[in-house]
Amino acid sequence: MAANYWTSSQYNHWRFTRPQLDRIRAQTEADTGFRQQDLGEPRHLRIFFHGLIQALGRHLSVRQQALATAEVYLARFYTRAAVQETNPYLVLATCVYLACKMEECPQHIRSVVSEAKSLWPDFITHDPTKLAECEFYLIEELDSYLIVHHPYRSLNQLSKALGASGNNAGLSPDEMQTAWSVVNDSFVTDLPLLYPPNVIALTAIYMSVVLRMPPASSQNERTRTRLKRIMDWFAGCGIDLEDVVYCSQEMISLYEVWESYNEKTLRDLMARLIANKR
Amino acid sequence: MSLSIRSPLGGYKIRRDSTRKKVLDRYEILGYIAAGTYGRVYKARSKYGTQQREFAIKKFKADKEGEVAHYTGISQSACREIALCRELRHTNITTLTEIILEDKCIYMVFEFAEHDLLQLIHFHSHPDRRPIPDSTLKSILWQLLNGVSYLHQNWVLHRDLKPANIMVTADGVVKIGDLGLARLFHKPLQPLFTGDKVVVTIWYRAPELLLGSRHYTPAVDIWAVGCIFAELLALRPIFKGEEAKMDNKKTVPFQRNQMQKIIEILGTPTRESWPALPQYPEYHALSSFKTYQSVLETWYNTVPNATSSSHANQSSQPQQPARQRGFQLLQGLLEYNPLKRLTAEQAMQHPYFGEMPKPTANIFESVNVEYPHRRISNEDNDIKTVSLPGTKRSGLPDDSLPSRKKLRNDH
Ligand SMILES: Nc1ncnc2c1ncn2[C@@H]1O[C@H](COP(=O)(O)OP(=O)(O)O)[C@@H](O)[C@H]1O
Ligand SMILES: [Mg+2]
Repeated sequence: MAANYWTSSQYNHWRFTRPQLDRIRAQTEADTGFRQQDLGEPRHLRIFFHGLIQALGRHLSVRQQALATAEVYLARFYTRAAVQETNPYLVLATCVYLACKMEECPQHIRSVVSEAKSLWPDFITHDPTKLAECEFYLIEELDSYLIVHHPYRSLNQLSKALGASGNNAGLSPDEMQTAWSVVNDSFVTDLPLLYPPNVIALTAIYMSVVLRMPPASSQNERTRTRLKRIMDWFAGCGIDLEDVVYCSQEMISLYEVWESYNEKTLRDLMARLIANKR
Repeated sequence: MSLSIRSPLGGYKIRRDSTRKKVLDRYEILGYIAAGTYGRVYKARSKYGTQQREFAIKKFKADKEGEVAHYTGISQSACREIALCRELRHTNITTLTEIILEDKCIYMVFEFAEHDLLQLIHFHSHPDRRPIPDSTLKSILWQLLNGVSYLHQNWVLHRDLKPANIMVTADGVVKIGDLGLARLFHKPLQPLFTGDKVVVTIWYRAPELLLGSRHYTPAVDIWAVGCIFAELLALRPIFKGEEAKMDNKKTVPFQRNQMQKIIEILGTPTRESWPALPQYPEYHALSSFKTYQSVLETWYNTVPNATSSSHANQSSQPQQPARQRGFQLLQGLLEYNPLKRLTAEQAMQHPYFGEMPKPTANIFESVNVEYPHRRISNEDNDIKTVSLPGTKRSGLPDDSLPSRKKLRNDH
């Protein structure tokens, strides 16, 4: 339910294992006749969409939480639809429009359309009915499950608990900032479709603290004690650390893929895609 | 390029439209139940499955411009209702079975509920009929609180609790319905007052809202439950104020008459018992009222309810202390100060529910009253019709007076 992830639709209907997710995508490829691999590295595409959502969000001054919801809607939508059969600019603008309503920071449909149009004049028309129509299809594809739980709240709770677990264990402002960005970046991956928010939040903490520690050889006593304390706390916090390790690997591999990301390539790809869709 | 921008969902749409199961493929429409605030509610029967289950289909339609309906974006309240109904699952909340999006309309399919509290109250308010039996009344209240407690635990405010929105199934289970004004209260990205100004039908509106508080808390729902409890006892609304209409500008008028009705029964609120009182925007308006003492207890004792009425079966009449418990509970629900008002959980723990008769899972248990079935009409069986009245939702209360009149004529 709305207050509890473990009884939520996100847990019960929109959370998959990796093999399940692969099967759903294979089914969508079969249904649509479009192959994901024709669009290159899927994460490059996700990074591109992420950038578009953030840009639209900035233009509309939308809170991060609502953009996170929009990203989850988009990720869910494209498990069941092929990018090639849609105009992703319209779809993601629709995700932002709907997410803003759900996160109680509604935007007028005309503002969303006009900001989107000013950002992507080649791909969006003035006509708000297109976006409104797309909203119907979006809600349908989401099975009308619109409430989304994000790792931000867990991140705050976990970091508070960590801080209370002993002196020096808590996150520094820098580490908190890093953890926050890891959560933001997790929306580019499949993790929100695979893991509960608290696992992703703990992954973000793990990455911001443990992976950024100086190598063991150059650690002083203080750092070593702190690390030990944190690892003890991790072990006792009730979250499966294997999951955290898996999520960290996903994030690290995302950052590697990000190195070879070229926005222009993606922009050209989209232009070709939409031009071909006559 | 322009072509694909103009039909941006081209291939996807065709694929999706061709696989969608249509409402009329799935449901046989049995008749029309009610005109809602923004659409219509139909009674339907599933065409599939062996048991002939019945449903209520609530249809919201797209806005119309001239003869053609257009997509204009789904109203925020409809989005909330969809999202919340899809998420919530509890015995005492109407069960949503599915949502169908078809031809610019949204169809929310609910399990059918044969009765609602408005209808029950009307049935009993007929001069020849007896008050609502104690066991039924207590079971209704307990189940209602149980549903409200579930909502509040899940950070949902209903904000429009009133008899017409509380259903009862044929097997006597209370189902809170109409989450059209419901909202989550843990997500104040925007403070909880902006957007929709007027919420909750005036007779059930909490005093802090009347005094201009624009901050909704679970206590506003509890007030409404208190009003409903009183109405189940008295068979008429306890605070039946006349609504001051909004003038054409956006200013929300002070609901003076409604406040008056409350003060006449509960007495003039004081700063001693309600310290935040002077902070409400309409506080100054209170000084122009005459001073009243609370007469709630007298009101309670003179209400012709099942225990005091001459119709009452002597043997089933609870003892005086038991009656007193009912009064205490009512008083706790109709507490002026929202911080002191009972919570749903507290109310459920109230000794009133520990007294005989105990609340039951079937509110009709051990009662042989034959309640009339929900009336359906066949003048509009065409769920696909577009020639319906306007659909724009407003936060305005849909005053239940007209439907009461209609109901009365039915008996
Ligand atoms: N599940 C249901 N079973 C039977 N009748 C229902 C059901 N849901 C709603 N209704 C009828 O339709 C009316 C309007 O529905 P409601 O959900 O309250 O919408 P509105 O927001 O328009 O008031 C209700 O007062 C009731 O008479
Ligand atoms: Mg209603």
